[in-house]
Amino acid sequence: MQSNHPDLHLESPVITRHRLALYCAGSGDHSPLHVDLDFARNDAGLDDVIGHGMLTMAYLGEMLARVYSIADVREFSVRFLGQSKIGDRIVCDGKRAPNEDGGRIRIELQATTPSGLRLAKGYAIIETAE
Amino acid sequence: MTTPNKVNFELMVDPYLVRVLNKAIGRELTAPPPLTYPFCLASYDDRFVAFMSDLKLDMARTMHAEQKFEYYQKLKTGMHIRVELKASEQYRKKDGTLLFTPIAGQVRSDTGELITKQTITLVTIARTEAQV
Repeated sequence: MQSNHPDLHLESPVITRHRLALYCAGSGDHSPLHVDLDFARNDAGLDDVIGHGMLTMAYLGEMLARVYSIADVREFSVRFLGQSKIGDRIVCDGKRAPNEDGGRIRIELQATTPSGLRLAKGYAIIETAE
Repeated sequence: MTTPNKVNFELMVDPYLVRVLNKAIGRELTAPPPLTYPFCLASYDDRFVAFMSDLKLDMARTMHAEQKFEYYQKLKTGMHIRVELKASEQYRKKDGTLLFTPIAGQVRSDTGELITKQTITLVTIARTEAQV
């Protein structure tokens, strides 16, 4: 089954203030940068709140979990490149690297907005019986 | 530069918080903890709040730069676990305007078996003179 899914793709639901508030509560990341408009404007100099980087990573993880068993994921790493904004969707893509090593495959990951802003890039290592 | 510090604590993978997190992401509420869950564990404990406070970061200017997980066992809802976090030496880039704070962490079961390792790298963007 996995060989039939060489490339992975997932588009998140819309990032709303409600979703960021839920993520704030569930993740324990209570930084006001993500939920407090006054703080974002007056203290951080932003136009609006920004999405959690770890929410972007969560969608990359969800993309992996829809194809592979979570129990088979060995490494999952990202570098954050930009911030999502209210109204964005997180567009996640994964591409299997050509060289596979001893039953493990490497998947190159990236997350962008629909307009093409790069949010994160990274990789995952998956244990596979292939 | 901040002196490296560390913190250890025990907690349970709370079913309610896993449900809230799953709802935020758009997963089934009863789904197991997502792959990124080990990052969340730290924030639930007061000792982590004190640990972060000791780093004296300008939180209005601090964001997540990098995150890495290594998985050894599956984390399950309801498990009792031990969390360890240790801040490494901070370093600067771009003429000192970016301050990086690496934090290495481990999650172990209550019997000491390694479940996850993680590295969290935070970046703090210096304020300009007009912003100070």
